[in-house]
This record gives sequence, structure tokens and C-alpha cells, in this order.
Amino acid sequence: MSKFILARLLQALPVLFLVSILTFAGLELVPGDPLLAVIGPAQDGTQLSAEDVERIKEQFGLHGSLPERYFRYVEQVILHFDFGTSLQSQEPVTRVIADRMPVSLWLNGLALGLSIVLGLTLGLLAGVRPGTRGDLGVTFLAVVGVAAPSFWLAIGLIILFSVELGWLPTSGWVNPTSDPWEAAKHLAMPVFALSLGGVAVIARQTRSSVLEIRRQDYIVTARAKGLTSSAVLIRHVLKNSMLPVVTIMGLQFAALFGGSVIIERLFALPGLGRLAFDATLAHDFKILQGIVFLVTLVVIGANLLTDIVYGMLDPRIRYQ
Amino acid sequence: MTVREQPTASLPRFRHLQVPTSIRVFLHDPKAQVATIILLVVIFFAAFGPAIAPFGENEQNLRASLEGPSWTHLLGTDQLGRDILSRAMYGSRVSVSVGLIVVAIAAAVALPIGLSSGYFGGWVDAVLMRFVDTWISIPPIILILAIVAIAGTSLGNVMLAIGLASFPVFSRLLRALTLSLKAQDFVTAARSLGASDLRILIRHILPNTVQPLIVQGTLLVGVAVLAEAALSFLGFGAQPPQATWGNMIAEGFPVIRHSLWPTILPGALIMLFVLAANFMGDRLRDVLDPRLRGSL
Repeated sequence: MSKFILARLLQALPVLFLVSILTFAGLELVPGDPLLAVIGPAQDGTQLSAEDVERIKEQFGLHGSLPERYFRYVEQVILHFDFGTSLQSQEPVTRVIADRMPVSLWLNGLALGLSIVLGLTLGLLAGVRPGTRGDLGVTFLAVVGVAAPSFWLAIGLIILFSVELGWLPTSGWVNPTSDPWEAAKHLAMPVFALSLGGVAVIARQTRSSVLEIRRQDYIVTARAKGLTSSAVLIRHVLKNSMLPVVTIMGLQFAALFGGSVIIERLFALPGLGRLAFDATLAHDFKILQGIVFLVTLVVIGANLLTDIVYGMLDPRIRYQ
Repeated sequence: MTVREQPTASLPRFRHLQVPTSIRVFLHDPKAQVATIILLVVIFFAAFGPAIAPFGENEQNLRASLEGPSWTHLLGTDQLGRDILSRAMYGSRVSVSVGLIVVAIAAAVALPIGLSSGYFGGWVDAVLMRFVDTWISIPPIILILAIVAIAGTSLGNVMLAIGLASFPVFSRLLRALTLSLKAQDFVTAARSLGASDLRILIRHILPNTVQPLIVQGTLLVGVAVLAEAALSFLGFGAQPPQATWGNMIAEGFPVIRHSLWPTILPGALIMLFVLAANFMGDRLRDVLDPRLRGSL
């Protein structure tokens, strides 16, 4: 098993190297001088002196030749975990991102948990009793959940729970550690809206996976041995249906973050998604560079974890 | 495909093998029927919208703002008194073109990568696939935002960004197809006749990847339309006052307390269009290539 984990870790290295090249190249691709993007065109028409230009270039790490800049970038990121300075607020990118991290962790963590629990439950219910009304309902939900824009469904939630019923606040962020009840009220709609896509995908995958497993001979054997339905369901059907679902869960990490850009904007939550949105508007490439790097790192980590869990659940994978 | 064709006399016995029959099977499926009708209606609106729309795209009538459905305005009006039905028709042009252009961009980028990766193998494959793996690890929306930040805000750039973000699915599919195709006898035959690698790739392998590509492309249409709507909603796509379904939801959102019509219709249209594209892709896959069923 440790050999398998080591091999997977080694496979991730070239990917990390390419991520560093891509994020670095992104900033280099900015049309014109990235420096101009930093300071904006001179409004009063005055020209900056050559020393000023050099000074500003050094401040933002834009001095030196292309390979020099790349190696400096990699060195800073790997050795000091330093992504440079935000072009807009002039604060360190790492601090700006760290400030937004708790909101994103709460929102995405809860949404991931909810989509796994709800998706697995619904998929299992539908897969165990195919053709029933419950199954049809779940299938309908899965189809709509994939096809409907998440922000549109979120607006539907706002109309129902905020405008019509007045139960939940329309937007804003309250830290769950300071006021759990208020925080729950503020997070309920965003978490639910963000998890819908995941619920749909996981429910659909679980359902088809359960249907497939239920046809296997060992299920018949388990029943023939006289195991109760629930024992067969939990120990045999559920465990073996989990395999493809684990892969989907890994993929959900990336999808969740994408969804959070729009959900955080809609519900005015100050997380990483909102930061990415603001940075795009402000052309703050340093922040975007940091976010792309970090989020990709998390996704690679999640995929690695998924693979390892997969290897633990299914010995065949380890020996391939 | 000529290999599969049977003499006319044996038609009844081999009915399930005939290509026209597969189209008949397709059209007999209720999901495929619904999908075909929805897609045809949307494409019709996209093609003839400006000719049949009762009002202009930006024809304002502030006295008739935020009205519910009436005989004059079948689906009501928005806060500027613009006819929602007419704007939705104009918006369908954007969604249909986004679907088609994004698929074309993704396929164009994926073709050289997937074909050469599968055909040449070795270090070419290793390098290209590591690149694709990395590209896939970046969450699409973040990648799209980064591209839009670099290239600027416009519908064209959004389409380019979505296309670039979604090409890995195509290239992986093409690589897998090329791997299996290059081992087949007709490729060996072509090579023994002295055909160059380029000729084998373009004349022999590429044509055989078209069907699975169409299936994958149809499924990508849904993804592309959803992504464009999300970016329009965020304000990075086509700029107002141009009518796109995403823009319409964004403009309707601030007035949901007064009228739901400006928000409901465009969202429902996006859902139906994506649903139809997904149904179509699923069913096409079953009909065109049963081997791939459930494997992608």
C-alpha cells in the first residue's frame, strides 16, 4: 500500500511542475506590459522615470529575464509560500487569501458533506427500489439538478425563503464560531444551492452503481446464506457501490469551487470565490495567480486522496 | 461503416444492424423525441427570432414595465418595459452559437493533442497527457475567469475560455479511440501500402472518431450553455443591453420582489435547452455507439 501511495505522489510531481509553469505563464500572457496592468495607464500623462519603473518592477517581482522571473516565482512559492503582493490592495497575496479561507472552508466543506450524504441516501433509495415513485422522483431531481443553472435555483430559494416566507436572510456572512444559530441561517441557502449539482451527480452515480451491484452473483449468495436485507444492503451493496462514487466525489471538489464563485457573489459571502470574482474585475493578476495555484493544489490533493481511498477499497487498483 | 451494410433482401432479419433503423430507434425514444422538439424550437427561434419576435431586442416602454403576461406581452415585461418573450428569442441566438462555437474550439484544440498522443505513444503521449492532467486539475470556472481577466470581457473571449477549459474531455476520448483504432487491420494495411503517418491519421483514423465525438460534443453543448449563462450573470460575458439568457436573469434578480417573470423564463429556457442537449447526447450515445454506453 505504501508503495502505491508513493507511486501516486511521484506521479503528482510533473503535474505540480506544469501548474507552476501555467500560473507563471498566465501573468506573462497579459497583453502589453504587466507593469502597466499594475499601475494603470498614466492618468496625467507624466512619464515614470526609468528608476521608478525598476523600483515598481522589483516591488512586484517583475524584474529580470523570463527564466529568472520563473525561478524566482517558484522559489518564493515553494520555499516561502509567498505569492507576491496584490496589485490592487498592495497586501501580501497569501494574507488576502488566508483571510478569505475560513468562509470558503465552511461553505465548501458543508456543501460537500451535504451533497455526499444527500446524494448517497437518495441514490441508494432509488437504486434499491427501481421503477417506484421514489426512484422517479430522484431521477427527476438528478436530471434537473444537472441541467438547471445553480444561480437560478438559488434565486428560487431566495424568493421562497426570504421574500415570501421571511425565514432566512438574503445575504451576508456570520462566523459560525461566534454565533452558530445566525451563521446557520445565513449559510443554509448558499450551502444547499451549492450542493445541488453534487447531490444530482452523486445520486445518479450511486443509483446506477447500486442497480449494477444488485445483479451480481455474490448478492444472490449473500441472500441465499440467509442474511437480512439490511445486512446485504449495508455490507455488500453499499460498500461495493461506493467505488465509482468515490471518483465522482473527487471530481466534485473542483466543481464545488467553481460553483462557489457564483454562489458567494449571489449571497454576498466574502470567500475565495468572491475574491476570484473581484480579482478578475480588477485585473488583479497576482491574486488570480495565487488562487489558481492554491485551488489547483487542493484539487490535485483531493484527487490523490481519492485514488488512495480507491486503492484501499479495491485491492485490484493497487496492483495495476 | 460500409462493412455493416447488409443486402436489401436480408433487411428484416438484420433490421437492428441498419443505420436508418438506428435513427428510427432514436426517434421512437420518448426522451429523444422531447430533446429533438426542444432543440428544434430553440434553433428555429435562434434562426428566425428577429423576424418573428413581436418586439425589438431593446424596445423599451417604461409605462409597461414589470407587467405580467398579457396578449400584447405574452410572457410579460422587464423593468424597462422590454418584451421578455422577444428578448428570450434574441437570447437563444447567443446560447445556440455558444454551444456550437465552444464545441468547435474544444474539438480544434483537442484534435492534434488527442490524435498524436494516441498514435505516437511514448514520450509524446507522456508529455501531452501530463499537460492535459494538469489542465483538468484547474477548476474550469477559475480557468475561465483567469482567461477572461487576461483576454478581456466579451462574449467571444468567454466562448474561447469555455472552449479552452473543456478540451481535455475531447482529447482523452480521441486518445483512447486512436489507441484502439491504430491497432486495427485497416491501419496496418494502409501503412503497408506506404501511407504516411499524417495520411493515416487524417484519412483513416479521424473519420472513425467522428461518431463518438458527436456524442461528446452534444453533451458539451449543455456544459457550455450553463457556463456562458453563469459568466453572463456575473457580468463577464456579452454586455447589456444585449439579450442573453444569463444577462436576463442578472437584470431580473434585483426586481424579484416586484415581478418574477423576468427571472423565471430565461432560467427555465436554459434548463430546458441543457436538458435537451443532455438527453440528445445520452440517446445518441446509445444508438451510435453501444460499446461506450455508461463508460464515459
